[in-house]
Amino acid sequence: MLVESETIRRAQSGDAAAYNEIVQAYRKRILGTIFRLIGRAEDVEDVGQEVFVRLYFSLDQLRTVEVFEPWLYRLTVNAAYDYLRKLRRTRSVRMADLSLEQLSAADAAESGKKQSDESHKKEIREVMDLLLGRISDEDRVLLTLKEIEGLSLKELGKIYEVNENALKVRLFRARQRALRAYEELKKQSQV
Amino acid sequence: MHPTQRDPSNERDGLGRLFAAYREACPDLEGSANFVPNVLGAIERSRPASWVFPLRFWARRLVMSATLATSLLIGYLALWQGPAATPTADVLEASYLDVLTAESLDEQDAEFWRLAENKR
Repeated sequence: MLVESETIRRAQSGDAAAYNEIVQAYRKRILGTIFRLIGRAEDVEDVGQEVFVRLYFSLDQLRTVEVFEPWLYRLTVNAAYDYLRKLRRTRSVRMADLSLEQLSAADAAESGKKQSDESHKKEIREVMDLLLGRISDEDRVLLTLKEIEGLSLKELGKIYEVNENALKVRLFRARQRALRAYEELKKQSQV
Repeated sequence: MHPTQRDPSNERDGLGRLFAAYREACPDLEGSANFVPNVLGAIERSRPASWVFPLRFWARRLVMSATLATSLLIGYLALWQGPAATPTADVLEASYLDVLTAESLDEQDAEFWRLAENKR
């Protein structure tokens, strides 16, 4: 954990300084996770703010400090879900095809070529935004946590409160759907 | 629980490598300098007004007292009034003839007392 258990206990009892310490310690990690979950830098701070407000008002519901991190992740995931749902309601989902540059960036990434220039990174982010926009929010969040955040099945189990076997099945299906969406996206773009 | 601590076995296919490239393409975000003040401001705005707390405190106690009183009343009625609270049970179980006999006996009884009064 990034903070001492005692700090969490003090924050639970209403210590504002302890709560500030938690926000400072976790903000970079949480904002990074939110960016990877929602893919929109302009809205990351708003969602992050929502996560920490929810944290403040629900800290007293945390029974043991040992589960603080999975619990904070759950708050983050829920806030990301809310944002993605709102986004789907207010904006039409982008079903655009890949540009030539995006296609070549995706091909390069697929073949494992490392490219560090900013335009390549931007194209990869756009490819992923288009791909993740074609799958359900549930698949999107689960795949992001596993494949991009790099959480283990054990950690995911604590967040989703399900056993590892159920998670493996869900992950396999989500991956298959993402793979199909990716193949479709590439096929449409090449026509 | 950090993006760098990944299971490399997931990176075997093209999609896995694309995910890995995306992870590297994502910027590290610190949040603006106003992030923490904004969070604290949002907490203040979301905090219920000061009069809500005592109201909630007393409302909770009122509900608890009402629940307790209702339980006690139900318990009292069930234990002490339950069997006696059904005086018509005998009537419902009696046959038509039993009821007629009982009524006739009542009438005879009344007549007997009326005659006794007259004789006195």
